[in-house]
Amino acid sequence: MRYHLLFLLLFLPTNAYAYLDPGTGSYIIQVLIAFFFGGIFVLKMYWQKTKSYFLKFFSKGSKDNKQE
Amino acid sequence: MKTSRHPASFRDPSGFIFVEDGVVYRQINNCYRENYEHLMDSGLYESLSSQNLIIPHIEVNYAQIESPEAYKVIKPESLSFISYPYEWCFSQLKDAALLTLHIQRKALEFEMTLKDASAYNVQFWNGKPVFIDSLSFDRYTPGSPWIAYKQFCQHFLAPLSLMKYRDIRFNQLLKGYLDGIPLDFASSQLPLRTYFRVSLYSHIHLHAKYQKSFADRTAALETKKISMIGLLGILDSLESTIKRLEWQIPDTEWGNYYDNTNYSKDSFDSKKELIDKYLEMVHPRLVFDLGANTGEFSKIASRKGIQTISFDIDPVAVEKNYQNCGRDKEKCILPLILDLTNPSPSLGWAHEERSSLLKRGPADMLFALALIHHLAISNNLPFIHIARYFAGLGSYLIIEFVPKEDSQVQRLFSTREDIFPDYHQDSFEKAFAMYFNLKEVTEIGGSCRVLYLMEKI
Repeated sequence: MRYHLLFLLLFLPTNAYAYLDPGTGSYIIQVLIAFFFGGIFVLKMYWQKTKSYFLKFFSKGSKDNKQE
Repeated sequence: MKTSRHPASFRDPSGFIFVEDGVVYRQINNCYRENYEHLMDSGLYESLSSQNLIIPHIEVNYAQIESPEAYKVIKPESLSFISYPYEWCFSQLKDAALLTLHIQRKALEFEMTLKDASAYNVQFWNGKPVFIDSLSFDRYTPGSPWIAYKQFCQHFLAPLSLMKYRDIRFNQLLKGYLDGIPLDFASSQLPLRTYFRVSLYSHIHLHAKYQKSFADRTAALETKKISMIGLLGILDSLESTIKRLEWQIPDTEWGNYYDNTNYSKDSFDSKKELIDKYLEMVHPRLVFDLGANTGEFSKIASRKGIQTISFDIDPVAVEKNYQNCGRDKEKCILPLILDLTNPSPSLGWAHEERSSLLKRGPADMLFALALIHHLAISNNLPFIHIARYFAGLGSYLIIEFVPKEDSQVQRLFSTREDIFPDYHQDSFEKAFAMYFNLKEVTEIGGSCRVLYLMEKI
């Protein structure tokens, strides 16, 4: 048993200690709000992508018009 | 050779700061080895340091390491002055908050996370905020929350919200609460309308309620995971909340000071020329401009490449100074809030974690321009007390004597009795001669004021 423990200690990565207490309440609230803000974040990303696609599309169109 | 471990560097077992012959080093311990190697090898350090977001460091061969815990010693770029969040204006705290969030997002890109989000991990360097704790980065474990979320809310979001929605002077509360403003306290002080802002409701009000509910309860946290999208969503919400916190600068007595002085343009210019001449005689490397207002005279020093700490009691003047420095790309001025009649004290464990202004000195030179009447008359300070304190704070002194005939002094007497029979130039000179050699004395043309250059005895 002692050797098993030694083996484990040798091969487990040495983690730095989490010296800061995140606080149970702060941990739980993050889990809860992550769903909400994560959802908003995804929508925001899609909205930005869509907006930049159309902006590119229209700016390309106006450039083409200018060249004509 | 004198080596001493920094008294504030004791919380994180990953390593510590020590000072040897005035040079700052950081020891990295073996328990942090894996994280440090990932920081350096993954490209995260390179990415942050190339944009001046983290203080650059070099690894040094340090022969004196005796501790078996030691892995490496690094030498970070030196800073001329350490400032604290309770000395920062609104935009300085806001910029420090946005830097912390930017670094956390960047760290996640490289599979790391900030294990703390203390405002004391940020300093101002070349006019911009910079992250100074190279050991704050841990490997990110998928599903884990941001361990420093509470600290970020306490150190940044709570004070900024209180400064914006209640009173700008709430930043002074950070002197009393070194680990940031408790969220239940912030929640109780913020106005009702902040409950209707989803982000402030979540990060402060609801957060405070959950802290209270779980204060004496345990929960099986290992089963509760947070996806990367969720984590990025929280960071994005914090970032947009902080960006939206704007402070409208009001007009104050000091904010428009230069428009209300009795200086003509000629005497203002001759005062500037004299200061320039005195600077050329001394060539200081660090100047404390005490009562700097919006930093008009600090610029004379900074434009010579002299690091200039521009102190003022008025948060509006400091805010304007900081914004002007940003606009003019001033690299050598650091504007800070300081009440000289009650300067920043030593704080924290054993009074050693945060140093007093005096301990962070002495500067090579002090500016005390149009200040003496405020200290001697508004604050009833005898000249000898002022001279003694200034002698501890700087080696050279440029000080302006403002006589009783001056309209600014008369203004002070408009509401109070003149109980200062000794307030005249002779007794001023006698008191300061106890601590300083008077090197130069020149009347400022077009005014009744006198400018002195003094050297500490």
